[in-house]
Amino acid sequence: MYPILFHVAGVAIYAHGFFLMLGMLTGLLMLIVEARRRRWPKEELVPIALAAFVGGMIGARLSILFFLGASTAPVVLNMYTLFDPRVGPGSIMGGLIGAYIGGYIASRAIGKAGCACDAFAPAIALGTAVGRIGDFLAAEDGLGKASTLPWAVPAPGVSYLVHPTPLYDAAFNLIWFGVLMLLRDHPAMQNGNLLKLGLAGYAVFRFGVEFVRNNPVVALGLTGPQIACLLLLGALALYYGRRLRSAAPAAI
Amino acid sequence: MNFTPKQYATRNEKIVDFVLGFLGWYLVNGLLYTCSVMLLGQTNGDNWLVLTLLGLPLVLNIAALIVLARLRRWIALGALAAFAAMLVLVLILGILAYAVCFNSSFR
Repeated sequence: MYPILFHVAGVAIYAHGFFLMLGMLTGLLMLIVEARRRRWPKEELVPIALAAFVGGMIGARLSILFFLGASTAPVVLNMYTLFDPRVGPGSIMGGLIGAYIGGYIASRAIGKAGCACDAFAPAIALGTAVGRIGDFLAAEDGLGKASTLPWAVPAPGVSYLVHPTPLYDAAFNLIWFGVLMLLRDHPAMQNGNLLKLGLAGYAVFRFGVEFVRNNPVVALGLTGPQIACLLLLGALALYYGRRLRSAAPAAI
Repeated sequence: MNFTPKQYATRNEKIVDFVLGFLGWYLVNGLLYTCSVMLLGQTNGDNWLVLTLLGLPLVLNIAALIVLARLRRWIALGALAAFAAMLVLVLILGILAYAVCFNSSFR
C-alpha cells in the first residue's frame, strides 16, 4: 500500500488526507455545477451547503461512538478534536446522515419552499468515489476480509489476500454517479427524490459490502454501519409509505 | 429578550451580523475550550462528569446555531462559516498528517 503519496520539499503528502480533500473538492465542484444548472440561487445554496458540510463532519465523528463503542466517547464527544487532523474525520455513513440533517435544518431556517437538495446527490457519489481511493492506498481497516478472488490484494500485517473494499466502494459510487446523472432530469426524481434515491442506493450497497469489511459486529450479527443502513432505509420506506397513503384517493 | 426573527433592511446590517457571528464563534469557542480544559484538569478518570463536560461545547454550538438561524440568520451564517473554515483548515492539514477515517488509538 502507499500511505504516503509523494514528498514536497521533504514533507510527506499522505494518501488518505489528499484523496479526502480531493473528494471534497470534486464533490463541491459537482455541487456548484449542478446547482447552477438547476438555477438554485446562491443565497440558498451557500447556507445549506455550509450547514450540510458542518453537519456532515459532526455526524461522521459522532457515528463512531455507535460504530466502535463507548470507549471512543472521550474523543468523539469532544468537539475540539474535530479540529485535530490526526484523529480522522469519522464514518461516511454518519457523515451522510449528519449532512442531510444539517442541510434540512438550514433549509427550514431560511424558509426555503420545496427542495433543491437533489443537486447534492451526484456530488456525494462522485466525491465518495474519489475519497475512497485514499482509503485503499492507506489500507484503511486492513481493507477487508480474506479472499481468494482474482482481484484480491495483499494487505499490511496479514499473509493472505483480502477484498479491496474501498475500491468496491469507489467503483459502486462511480457507477451510481452515472445512474444519478441519467436520472437527474426525470420528473419523478425532483423535490428531494434524487437525493433520497442516492442515499438509499448507497445504503443498500454499503449493507452488502460490510459483510467483507473488517468492522466489528455490534448487534444481531450486524456491524454498526449495517444497522445505520437499515435505519436509513427504514426511515425512507416510512417517508414514502406515508406519502403514498396521503396521495391515495380516499376509500369509498 | 426579543424572540422575533430580525428583518434585515440593509446590506450593512447583514455584514455586521455576519462578522459578529464569525468572530463571536472563535471568541466563544476559545472561552469554552479554555474552560473545558481547566475543568477537565480538576476531574479524575473517565466518568460521566468528564463526558458531560467534553460534550457540552458541541451541544451548545448546535443549539446556538439552530436558535440563531431562526432569530438572527446572518449571525448564524457567520458562526457556521467560522466553524466550516476551521474544518476546511483541518482537511488541508490532514494531507500532512497520517490519518485514517478514525484513529481509535488517539487519546
